This record gives sequence, C-alpha cells and structure tokens, in this order.
Amino acid sequence: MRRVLLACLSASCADAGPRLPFDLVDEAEARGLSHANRSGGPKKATILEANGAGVALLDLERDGDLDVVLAQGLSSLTELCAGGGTDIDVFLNDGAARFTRTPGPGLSGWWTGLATGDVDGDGDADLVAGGFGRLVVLVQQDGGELAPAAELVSAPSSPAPPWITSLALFDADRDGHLDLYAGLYLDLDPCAPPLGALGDGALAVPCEWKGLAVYCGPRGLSPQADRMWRGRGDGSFEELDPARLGAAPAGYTLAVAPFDADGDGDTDLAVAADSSPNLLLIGDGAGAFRELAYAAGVALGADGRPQAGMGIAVGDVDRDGRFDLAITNFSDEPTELHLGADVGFTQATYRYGLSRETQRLLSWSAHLADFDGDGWLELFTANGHVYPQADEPNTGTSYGQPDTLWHLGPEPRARPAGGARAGSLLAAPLGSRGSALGDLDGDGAPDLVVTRIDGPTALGLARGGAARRLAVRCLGPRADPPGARSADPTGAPRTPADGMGTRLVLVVAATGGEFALLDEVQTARGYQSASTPWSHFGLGERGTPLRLFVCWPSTREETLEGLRAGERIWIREGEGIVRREELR
Amino acid sequence: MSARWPAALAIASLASPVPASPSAGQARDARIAAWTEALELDLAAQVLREGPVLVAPGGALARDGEALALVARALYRAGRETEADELLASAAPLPEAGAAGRAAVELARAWIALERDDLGGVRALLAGPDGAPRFPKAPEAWLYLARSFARAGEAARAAPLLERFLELAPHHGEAPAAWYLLARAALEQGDLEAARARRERAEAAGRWQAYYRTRRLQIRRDPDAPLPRLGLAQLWMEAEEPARAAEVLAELARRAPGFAPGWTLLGEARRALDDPHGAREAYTRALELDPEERLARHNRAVLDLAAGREADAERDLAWLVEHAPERDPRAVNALLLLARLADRRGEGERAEGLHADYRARGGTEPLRP
Repeated sequence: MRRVLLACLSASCADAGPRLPFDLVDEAEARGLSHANRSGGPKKATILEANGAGVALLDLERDGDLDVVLAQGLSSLTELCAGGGTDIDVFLNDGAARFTRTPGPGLSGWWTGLATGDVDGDGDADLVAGGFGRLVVLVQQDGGELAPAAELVSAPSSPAPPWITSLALFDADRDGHLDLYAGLYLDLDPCAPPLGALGDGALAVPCEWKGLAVYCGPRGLSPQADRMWRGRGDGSFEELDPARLGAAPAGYTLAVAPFDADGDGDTDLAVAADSSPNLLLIGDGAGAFRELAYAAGVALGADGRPQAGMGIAVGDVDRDGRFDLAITNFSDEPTELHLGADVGFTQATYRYGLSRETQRLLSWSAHLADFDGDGWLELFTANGHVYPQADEPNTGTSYGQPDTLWHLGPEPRARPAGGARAGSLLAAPLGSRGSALGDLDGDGAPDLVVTRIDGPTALGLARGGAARRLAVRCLGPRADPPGARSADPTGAPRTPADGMGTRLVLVVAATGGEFALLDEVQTARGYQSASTPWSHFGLGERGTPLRLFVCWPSTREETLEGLRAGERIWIREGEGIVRREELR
Repeated sequence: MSARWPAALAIASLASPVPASPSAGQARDARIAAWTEALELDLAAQVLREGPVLVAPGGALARDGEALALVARALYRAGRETEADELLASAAPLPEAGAAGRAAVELARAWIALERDDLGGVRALLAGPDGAPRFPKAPEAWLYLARSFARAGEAARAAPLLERFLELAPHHGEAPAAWYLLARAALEQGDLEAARARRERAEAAGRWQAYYRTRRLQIRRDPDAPLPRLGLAQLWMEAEEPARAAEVLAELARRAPGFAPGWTLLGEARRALDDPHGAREAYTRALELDPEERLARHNRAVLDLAAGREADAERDLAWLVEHAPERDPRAVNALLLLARLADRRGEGERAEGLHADYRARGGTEPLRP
C-alpha cells in the first residue's frame, strides 16, 4: 500500500489550475461569535498575561457542524491569587456559521489550552481543558453539554502550579483509546511573580528586551516537564511514567502536534519549545517515545540556533507524500519550514523566502491547509508580540501585527495571500494567539477562529475563488455495544472511534495529469487549540477526485472510489462511504 | 540615499579614515567597541541614539567604515531597512575607507543579504574567485559564507568554513550555532561520534555565552558593581583567555580598588600569563585588603617558593595551616609544601610530622615527588 501511495505521489506534478482570488473575512460579530479574551492587564507585567488562550472546534449536539469552545483567562493575577476563576465559553453553530452562546460546563480557572477527541468511545467529541494549575476532562452528554468527568491536575494555588499550554489527544499505543499529551510551560508563583529582575543584589538580571523593561521569563524561570496520560477509553486517564517520553529535557513547551513523522503507521509528536530546542518524539506504537529532533534536523533553526518555538503546523507542502513542518517563532526569528525527507527533514525556510517574510513577526498558531482550494497548501500564522513595549521606537517590530497567509506552491517560494478585502482577518494589526481551523459554514473550505489577546475573537470565513472541494470525515469501526470499546484482546492495533490517526491520500485528476494530496486526522492543530477532525481537500477549478487511499490506525488499508467534487463524505473503517452530502 | 545624507557629501566624507589625534582615536575605538557590544546584546536602539548623527556628513565618524557598518546593522535591526541600505550604498564604493572599514561595510551588506534570504548575494559579496572569503581575517566572513551554504542544505560545504570561523573566533556569540551546524554536518556524514562531540561543544559554548551575555548586561546596568566584572573575568579564565580576564580585572581594580577577590583573580590571570612578579603584586594587594584571601596567600607562597623566597613562603603557608579551616584544600596543600620545604632543609622529623598531618587531612601526595 505504501509503495502504491508513493508511486502515485511521485507522479503528482500536475497543477490544479490558475490561482483563485481568496481572503479570510472576519465576520465574528455579525454572526454572533461575540467573545473577548481576558488575559491580565494591558501592560503585561507577568508572562502569564502575555500568552493568551486557545480555541476548539468540535461537534456538540451531533448535528454535523462545528461548534466553538473558547478558553478564557482572568483580568489580573490578583484575582487568580484570591481564588478567582472563570468558565470556558461555548458557542453553538446553526450549521451556517451563525452562533449562539450557550452555558459553559461551570469550570473555574485561568484556561489556556484545549484538546478535542472522543475520549469515551461513544461516537461524539469530548473536550480536555487545560489551564494554569488545572486540567479537566469534559465528556459530551446526550444533549451536547460538556460535563466534567475527570480532573487530572488541580493545583491552582500552589506556588508553582503546573502551567498547561497546548494539549494533544491522540492514540499513542494504538489500543483504540485516545491518550493525552500535555505541554507545560514554567514555574510561576501567581501570588509573588518576579517583577523587574530575576535574582537579588548585584547579580540580579534585569528583565529586559532590546534594552526595554519587560516581564520576566521564560529564560531565568524553571521550565516544567511535559506530562502524558493513557486513556482507558471510558473518559478516564492514568498518568504515565515520564520515562516514556524518551528522557526529553524539560523545555518551555508551547505547541504540540501529533502526526506520523516516520511513516510507520503510528503517531509521533512534534513539540515546539520556547527558548529551547524543539522535540520530535518518535513513538513505538506502544506508548513510549524516543526524542530524535536533532537527528531529524528539526531541533534548531537553519542557522543552528535554538529558537522560541510558539506553534507548529503539519502538512504536505511539496506534495511528495511526506509530512512537512512549519514552526513559528519569536520576532527576529523566522517561521521555519522543515520538509519531510527520506531520513528526517530538510531545511526549506530560506529556499521559500520565509525568513525575510516572517522575521519581524512574532507568530503563534499556525496551519498548513489549502484555504483557497487550488490543491496547494497555504501557511497561516497568527501573529502578535508579547511585549506592549514592542511599539517603542527602533524595536524592528510592533505589538499588534496582522495575521498572515502565504501561498507555498506550486512555486517553492512564499507569496503573500489575502488581506485585500474589507474586514480581512489578514489586515488588522492585532494580537492573535490561538486559532482553530474547520469548515464552519458548510462550504467545504476551511475557515478559522482566532483568539486575540485582550480582544475580540475573530471568525475568518474563507471567501472568494471557484475551487472545487471535497471534505472527508473518518470514523472508526462500529463499537458493539456503543460506548463500550475495549482494547483488542490479541493486542492488535485498533482505530479510535473518531478516526484519529487515520492517513488519507486523495488522487485528483486535473488539467495536465493527476496529483495526490496527503492528510492525517488529528485535531491538535493550532497553538493551545483544537481544529476540525475533517480533512479538507482543494481540487482546483477543474479537479476531479479519483481515488481515496485510507490507512486506518488498525493497519487496515482501503481504497475508495466513486468520489465527487463538491460534497462531504463520512467514511467508516470497513464500510466505505456511509454518508454523503452536497457542500453548501 | 535619504534626504539627510546627500550621496556626494557622504562619499566625500569617507575620504580619510584616520582619526585626528590619538585621543580621538581612543574615543573612536571605545565607541566602536561599545556599539559592537550593544549589537551583540541586541541593543540596537543604543547605537541609534548617537550613531546616525555621528556617521552623517560632518559627523565625527562620517569617514569611518566600521562605524557606518555598525550603524547600518542597527538601522536594519530597528526595521529601518531603507536607511540601512542607503548608508551602506554611500559607503560601498570607497577604497579610501581603509581595509578594515571596507571589510566591515561588505560584511554588513552580506549580513543584510542573509537576513533577506539572498544566499547568492552573500556569496557574491564575500566569496573570492576560489570560493574562499575575500576578507579571510574577518571571522564573520567565514560564518556568513557558511550560513549561505547551510541554509541551502549544503552542510558539507559549510563545515570547513565554520571550522575556520571557530579557529578565528572561538568565543564569538555565534560559536554555539557554528558548533551545532558542524554537528549537523557530521550527522549527515554518518559520523555519530563527531556529531555528539560537536553538539556537546555547542551546548557548553551556549552555556558560556549565556553567562557572558548576562554578566555584560549586569555590568552595563551597574558599571561599578564588582561582582559582575569578577564573574566576567572568571568566564574568561574558564575559557583559558587570561589576557582577557586580566583586562577585565584591571578595569575592576580601577573602579573598585578595595575589592580583594578581584586582586586575587588578577593574580591568577597574571600567573597564567607567566607574569609572576605582577601576580605576586596582585596577591599581596588582595591580602592587604583581606588577610583571609586564602587563595592569594597560598599562591603567593607557591610563587615565593619558586623564586627562592622560602621564608616569605613559609610565613604564608604557616598562616594557612593555623587560620584556615582544617579541610580547606589550600591549608591541606600548605602542609604538604611545608613538609617538602622541611625535607629539603634536612629537617626529617619535622617533615615527617607535617606530612603525617597532611595525610591525616586527606592528602595523598608523597613527601618526595
């Protein structure tokens, strides 16, 4: 099967057609997604106030559309220190991207990262909410409500609470149950945070950036080690021995992206760490990992420097059948592009001209997706500086920054996209942090929800162009009885109920020949955020989907035909296409 | 060219790089050093407070290619790319700017080309006909050329350039990155042992650089505080650069003459520089300030022994035995040195007794080496 896929991909040089005008237009307010982030004070006196919150897209109520859950912070550390807390915010979608706020699950905390997946195997999406000293599993009820089912971390008042950043729900041991990886940031006492300097006396180190006084950290504060829990398949989890994470050094983790890095069928993890080398955790399929970022060439930037990794995007940029990585970084550091190679990754940042385009930006969330539907991926980055002081003269950057979108193909050179339409998400110089990708209005094109620090959440709807599209939702085999999935007694790999980890290759007929598109079902996409479980394929203006190769985590391989452009399909392992609908 | 710097004026102003007087030259060198350090510490704004005026026509450094290059780099880092380009364009064609000045300007242009992903531009600016740098004495010429290959995925071509860069500037701020790139090159060649060793060098260099940066920031914040300068000198000693340490300590002695640990470390630096007379002076100064400076006392005794001043040495060693904590390594070694001194004098019983005390305190060396 793998040989078939690669042969198919090696011939995939055809272009899908002319480039289409495209933009992401922010319609949040008009469509009822009225939400404003709180993240401490405007001066950002502490690092906790600067990092913002994530967003999750998941289908609540099983009505087939994606609803929105937003993490939320507090107005000050004083409030947190006094025992205050806030809930996460939930907005229901009517299927046409019109939103209504609905009561949240009643949590209390300073929330940061969100993860989605079917943790109890009942066929609907559940949520894990991480925060400053909190980590809660929320299981979706029959009516679509999210109800707390397990509290994995509860230490909001300790001197250095576990500070959860990005989360990932994925199946590390191929037992069909989703496991949980939690990225952690650093030790910070919310009641006595360092201010002005670290250390005492003559050897105190001033907290400065470019000579300007700023909040302290991450350098100089103790990093926290990432943690992992094994899912039991019923919504409960047990924490795993840290040794299973390959003795990876504690960094300042900000982003986590599961994907099959080595093409062996199980799920690996890319971890972006602030001010320290990135990690690449290669899974053995049994829930243990080896850290191989240096060997794979993704630990550092192309210049050999550790960078401040903030976000990770995964996708097949050059359509060679291997996953590539884009890793966002601090200002004065480029967003790095690492292309999958026969062994590890090769550096492509400078070949694509991304250094010049990105080095003055501080970028967080990132997505590699075919927004305009031309058959080639674009790179979206959510941008905004951590320091309000960036607006001082001669910093070379600014506090508010517009989000950016680059075409990365067919020419291997980054070219800016969008930003010209009124209300474009890509025009306003704000402070973005988290973002989640998914089709919110049912037209098959991936849209974005973007959180802004201290500001209104944006809803970037894909607008423009005439591309044909296909959306695919993968589902694991039917459980019998529903909700009672157990590990295979023989130890054979199983596909999770929500298809997490399934790899897809879509072969498309287009003018000039065929090309193939690669995707993998993973929701842990975007800084502190969770994106759609759907796979969105752009076919260009004249492309026709020919065949869909499906590699299920169970190792079953299937080839589906009879596909049509302009529809979305549900496929279930062993059953083929079980439902299809026209796109709007 | 900006309106503030008409091209003809700017070019004319670069005609003579020679400063008017030695004192002006010293001031210029100090300013260049300060700007260089500011850029190393990512403090471009500090260069821009005075730099653009000084390198503008009529300014004190208007004819100075090195100053121009530093200001151009600061402008670029500050996001003022056009001004940086114009400044360098005005400087580029001037043979009179002096070799160092011309090299600095070309290196600044190459650095900007790197920032702009213009890898071919870097090679066009820096590579001679044989591919080697046009400015072989400038470490950054080797580094930038190496980067142009490393960024293009040609680690093997970058490796020899990086090795030369590290030979020329082992403590450069980019040394850790150079070691990492060399590790990557070794990895690509399948030499796992070399890759591991180079990565360890990179990590060690990175730690050193982190401290080096911190100490310099502390010194800038409070120039008269002795501890940061002492820490900086210790870093140079760790790096086996006693001359750099001595330089730092001389400034520390000027600013804080009553700070005994500074004199002790200056003695160490001078000793490493094979200056026993200067070292003894420094140790003596430390002991005048603080008789408890045990390292100074011990090492002054060692120097005195080597110089045949046995009575002086004996006094210091006896003081250590009497006053230092029993297990203090300098006190323990003082016993050994006293024992050997007694042995040389033929005082066998005393020598044996002292050596027995030495062994009782954990010493393992024989009486007669």
